Amino acid sequence: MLSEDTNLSRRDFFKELGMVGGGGMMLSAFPWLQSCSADDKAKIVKEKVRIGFIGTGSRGQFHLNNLKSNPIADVVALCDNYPPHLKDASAIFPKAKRYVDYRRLLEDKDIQAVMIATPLNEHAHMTIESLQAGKHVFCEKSMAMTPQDCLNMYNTFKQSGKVLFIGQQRLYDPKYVRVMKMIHNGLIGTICGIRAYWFRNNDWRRPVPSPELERKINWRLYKATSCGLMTELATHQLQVGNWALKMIPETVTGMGDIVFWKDGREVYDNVSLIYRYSNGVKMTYESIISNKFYGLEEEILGNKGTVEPEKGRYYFEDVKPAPGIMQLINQIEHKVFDNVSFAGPSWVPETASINKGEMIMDHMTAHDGASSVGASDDGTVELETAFCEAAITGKPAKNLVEEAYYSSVLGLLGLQAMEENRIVTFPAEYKIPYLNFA
Amino acid sequence: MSYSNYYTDSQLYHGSMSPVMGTELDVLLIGGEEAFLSSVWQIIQTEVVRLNGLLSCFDEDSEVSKINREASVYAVNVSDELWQLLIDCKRYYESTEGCFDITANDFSKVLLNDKDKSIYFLAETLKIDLGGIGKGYALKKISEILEREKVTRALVNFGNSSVLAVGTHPCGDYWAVGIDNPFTHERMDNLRLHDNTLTTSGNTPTHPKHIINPKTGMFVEEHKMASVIGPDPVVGEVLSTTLMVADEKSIPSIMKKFDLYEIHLYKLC
Repeated sequence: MLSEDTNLSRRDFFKELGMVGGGGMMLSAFPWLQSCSADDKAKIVKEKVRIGFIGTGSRGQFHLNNLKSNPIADVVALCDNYPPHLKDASAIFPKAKRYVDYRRLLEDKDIQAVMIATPLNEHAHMTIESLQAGKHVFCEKSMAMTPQDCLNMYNTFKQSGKVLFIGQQRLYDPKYVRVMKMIHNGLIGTICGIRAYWFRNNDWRRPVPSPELERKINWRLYKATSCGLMTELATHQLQVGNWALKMIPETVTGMGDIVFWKDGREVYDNVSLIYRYSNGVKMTYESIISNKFYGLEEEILGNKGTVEPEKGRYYFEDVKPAPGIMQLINQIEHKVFDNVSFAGPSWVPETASINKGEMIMDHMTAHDGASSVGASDDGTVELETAFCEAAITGKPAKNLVEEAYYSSVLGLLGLQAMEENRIVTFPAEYKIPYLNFA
Repeated sequence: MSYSNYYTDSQLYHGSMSPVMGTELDVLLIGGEEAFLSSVWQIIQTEVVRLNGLLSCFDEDSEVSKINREASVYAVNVSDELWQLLIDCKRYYESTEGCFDITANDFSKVLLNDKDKSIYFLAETLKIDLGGIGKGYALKKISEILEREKVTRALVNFGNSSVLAVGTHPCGDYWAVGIDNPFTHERMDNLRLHDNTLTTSGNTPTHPKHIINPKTGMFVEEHKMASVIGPDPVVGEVLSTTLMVADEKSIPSIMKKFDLYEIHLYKLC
């Protein structure tokens, strides 16, 4: 369900961010957005990256449908070991070669880039083998099932000189990009806490045509193939906390249980965790999939204000600047000179006790987080396009894998804390040269 | 209560306080280190709080409240600052042909004795209200602070109706301010400000009746709005109120005395 359905094209996205007309500030603050310079863009405008797509289930088909209308993408090969999904994907790209074994796909020299949307347990080895085969790689989040596998993926990426993207689409969601800049500018003061949550009310199951396919189709529910809520949902939101605070938590503890969906699944349907940063700030994380009332959010709490990026809103604590003034400040920040309307007859500030907050930007889309496939306008299309551009130019997106790496590892450390019922400290061997680590 | 934030990239300091003089004050100061601009904002806040205490009719301890309680009984001695304001108000009463009147009734019944700087009301029910020029006077004082502190780029918005523009927008040759119709929210005008002030009076859907015509004692109910651009924000307040009250025929003769001021009249529907 879209609360405000407005299509935001990529051009509008950059325009909205103030990148047009000399606003280079956004680019320096979010370096992954500049993986493709204006010069590069002009050069590659007529090129198409030849993509081999591995894993054509629901998320895979979501990507394929997007890629169909992407002018710089050409899906030349499809791979899945589940025939019905491969057949569905072929209907989207009828000319693409079909593979059952991804290794055969990797041998195809014509393929420049691969996109991977397979179950979690396949991510690490497929990504590593693809990079080693000389392909640029897009792999869905979360990265892998163990911190060591995540690190192996990261190290292989660094050694390969190839492009790697991980499907953390919030990094390309305009309202996130804009509000993070506002947070880093001090809009809400010092961040004192983050409350993140994702609530759904469904069993997370897909229909299974025959019982022996249960573990293959419902891979999300079993420990051999999934880490459950932490890798499927939490990684997106843990990244938001790190992004806002510009650091990673040092410790995590939490509890996880199967409370409602006692249907033979092995992964928790109910988790509650606390991540603690070195400055004492805590990010709490909750996910329950048997009540959807509160939806999803990352509430970022500062001493001067609060941000709710999923809803696209922010709130001042006491004094709310007059309408128009924040818009004027935003224009000055982006070196834009335009008429801002605020002058008029004397204005009496609202005294209502309900603080409705301010919109992060016009033309926003907010989601209730109910879909387990993907939502439109959540940054996914921008992310795919950025990957295609990077695969053509061969230039990786700066800091993108690093952001994804930490959020993946943090999800897994949270799972470890719940399973071992203890406080887990971020292990030194899994720290990489990013954020507060040199 | 107040809010402030400094934007390093554009060297922009934003200070906001509310409620003050019945509305909110937003100040943008541009060009300078955070510590310096923050100290200027502190000075501005202190000054605005002081003026609120001097001019407010709502604050029982203010000098104006004391006058309203006592001046119909005996002549009340007035501080130098308030005295100067009262003298100015008398002058504006005369030059606007009675349209600007801080008694909203009959200013001729206010006796100002310049020998001992005292005020006496000839009518028992008379009261003065400086709310009509309070924001303008505050902007004048803020403008002096900015000049003294050598802040060369600033935009001060006092409740939307009183705007002070110092220097220009960092990317333009002036400050561009749009005026919307408060009933339809459609843009009616784009005005250019540069080292001057913009004052607006008008009726709005939420405040349809708040300006009294001192000559009739009735509220001005027409859907209209008046904006004045010029050097002195106090004169701006005087003229924007006058334009709401005056009949159209008398406007040219009044405005002849204020040739530095640009006026914009808007019919609202």
